[in-house]
Amino acid sequence: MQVLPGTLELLVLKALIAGPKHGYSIMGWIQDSSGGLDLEEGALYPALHRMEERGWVEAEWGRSETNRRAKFYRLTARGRRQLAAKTSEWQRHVETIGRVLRAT
Amino acid sequence: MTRWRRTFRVPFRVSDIDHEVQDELDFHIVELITRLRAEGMSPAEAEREATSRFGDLDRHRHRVRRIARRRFRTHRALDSLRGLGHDVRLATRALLRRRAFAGATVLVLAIGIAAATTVFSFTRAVLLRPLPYAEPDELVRIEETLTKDAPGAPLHRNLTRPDVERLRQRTTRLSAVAAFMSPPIPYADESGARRLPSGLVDRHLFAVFGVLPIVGRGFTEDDMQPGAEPVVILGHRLWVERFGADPEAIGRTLDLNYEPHRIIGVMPAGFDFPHGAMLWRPLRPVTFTDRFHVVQAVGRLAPGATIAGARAELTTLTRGWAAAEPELHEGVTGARVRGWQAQLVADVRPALLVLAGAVALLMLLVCVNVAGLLTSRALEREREVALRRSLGASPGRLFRTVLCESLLLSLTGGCLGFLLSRATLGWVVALSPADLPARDLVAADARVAAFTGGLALLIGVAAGLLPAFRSVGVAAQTALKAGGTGTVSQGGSGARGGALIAIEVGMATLLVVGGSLLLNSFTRMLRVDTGVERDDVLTASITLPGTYEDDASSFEFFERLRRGALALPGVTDAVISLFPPLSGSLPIPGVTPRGARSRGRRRPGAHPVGQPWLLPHGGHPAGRGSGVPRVRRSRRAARGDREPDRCPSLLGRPGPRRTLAPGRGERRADLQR
Repeated sequence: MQVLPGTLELLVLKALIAGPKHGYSIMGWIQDSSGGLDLEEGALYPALHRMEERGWVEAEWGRSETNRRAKFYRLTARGRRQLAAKTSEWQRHVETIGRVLRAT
Repeated sequence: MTRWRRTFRVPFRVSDIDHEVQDELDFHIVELITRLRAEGMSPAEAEREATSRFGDLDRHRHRVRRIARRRFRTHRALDSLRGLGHDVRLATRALLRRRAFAGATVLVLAIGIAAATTVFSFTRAVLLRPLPYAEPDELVRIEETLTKDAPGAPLHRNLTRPDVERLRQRTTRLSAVAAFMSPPIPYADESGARRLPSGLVDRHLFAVFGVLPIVGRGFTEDDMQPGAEPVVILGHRLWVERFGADPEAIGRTLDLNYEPHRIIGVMPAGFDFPHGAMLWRPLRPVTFTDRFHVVQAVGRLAPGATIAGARAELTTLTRGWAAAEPELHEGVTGARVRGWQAQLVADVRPALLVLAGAVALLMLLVCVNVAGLLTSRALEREREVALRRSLGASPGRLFRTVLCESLLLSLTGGCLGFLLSRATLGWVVALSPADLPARDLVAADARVAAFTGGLALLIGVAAGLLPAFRSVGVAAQTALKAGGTGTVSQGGSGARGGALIAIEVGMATLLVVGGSLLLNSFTRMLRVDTGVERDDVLTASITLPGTYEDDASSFEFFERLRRGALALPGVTDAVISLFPPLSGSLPIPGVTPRGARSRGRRRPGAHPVGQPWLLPHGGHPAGRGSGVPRVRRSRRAARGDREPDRCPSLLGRPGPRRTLAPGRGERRADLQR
């Protein structure tokens, strides 16, 4: 299944809610919890940097579990608000489209 | 070490950002390969698979870098803004510690900038402001040029009404031409009597300016006929003041000069040509307008036509009718065409430009002064600078601190200067000549404020650059030497300081000399000796209403007025004349002793006529009060002098006296026009 345009950011925000992660583990979390998405993994990084620019996430260099130097991303307060807003927006969207599709 | 720096260093350059992006993406790919190999793939397989899952590496890296760089630049700009705020605080504190220094500098700046601001206010209102009409650059004034043969005669003069008429019919370079005069007209209502500025205009004037009446109609051919009903077109202001902007005013009458005029139209607000006219009447053909050169002509250049082109064409036309009517156009050599704006300000332009030049030099002087003050201050605090330098302040930072101080001083001076100029502007305008064009429009408005702000910035940078560079140089030097003993060396910087001071003194001297020369030229332009003592002379201009029908009753009125004025306490003399000395004259080309024959174009003994004095008085034929001095020989004026066949004249010197009155005493000379 492909990721709809614009939803990658929502997925990243959700991935970070449990705590700071580096890009590789964000991608792993998304793949695991979705049960497999057709997504170029590199596309994650422009999204992450854009979110950093908007102040949704903060980044810090640290050590990965494999003891390599990695850049960790952490949700900011603004990012949390964004997650809440985007989640409810997504649900409304799905329900609306669903109602139309169920209509006879 | 490298690892440590890579891990903890704050990004400092754009290339650091690029490295970070590379590291971040590399980590992802390495982790991916590691996991794939752990799942049992060969190294080659794992790498291929990782590359494929990651997607287009170059494209992703490029996009990430673009975003990261943008973010980095924004941060850096914000940081330097914060740094600037810090510098401003630092500079403010430093200046507050040295109040005497700061106060003196700001005062010098404020006075200089106030002078510049005031001059700019004038220059802008008088020279730079376009006329408030459509396409003002196309408006031209047309005059006749005269032969230079008559000494002292005007070289240019107005036209006659038929001249303007002919000109309009023949010209191709002008799209419209109009004739007008601008006599004030007596007007009385409940609030009292006054003279309204008015226009006597032909029916083409409004077309020249591209304006139409907003109510009623403009002038027609019928309105221009002699003996037609007196009509008037109101200016917007008069319409509002007198009729409360009532459209029903059309058709009503307005008493002007004791004569009812029917109102036929109202012009739009803002139109007040010529000379602030509040109403317009038709310029009808009478002897005065058709035989005398008293009518002004204004034209609009046709599309594509130039002033030079119009001048060439009108010169040809003018010469044509000068040849056809020699008695009316004696001495006419051609036409002069000038832009309306240019001719309005022609008299004051050189003076204002000289003044502006002098003020520019003054500003340079102020700059040099402030630079000197800042440099001397920089010398004083070399120690502080050396200390800051050794504590790690970058040269750029030191440079900025000094520049900040300079800008702070100049901007404070600018603000004060603007306020000073604003506060004194009314007074300066009151001092300026009453006939200065656009005098009412001189104001310290937003554009003037912008000029002042720009000037203050410029001065701040110009005056601060040298001391700022100096402080950087000194800092580098002393930081090294100060390491051991903490003493400050004056050796090298002393020599350079000397050179600097020499340059500054030299420049200051040059500027003082240049500035005073310019100011001297300016005052000399103001103080041309006209031979007239103007001090303590008051003038008033009076227009008699049409009820004074003949000369005798007018003379009677003026004589009564003069005696009344003489009776006032503090009045030593009073005189009535057509014009005050040196202001205006009747368009009389000159007089010739009767019997002198014309030889070719040159008329020997033709002399321009000055102001005809209506009521000569006392030992000074023009009256002591008029300020005309140095009458060599004269006699008292007598009542009989006013009789038409007996016209006493005062001869100028030296030409006319030679021709007309070679001996001493009174003598009769027959003069002809």
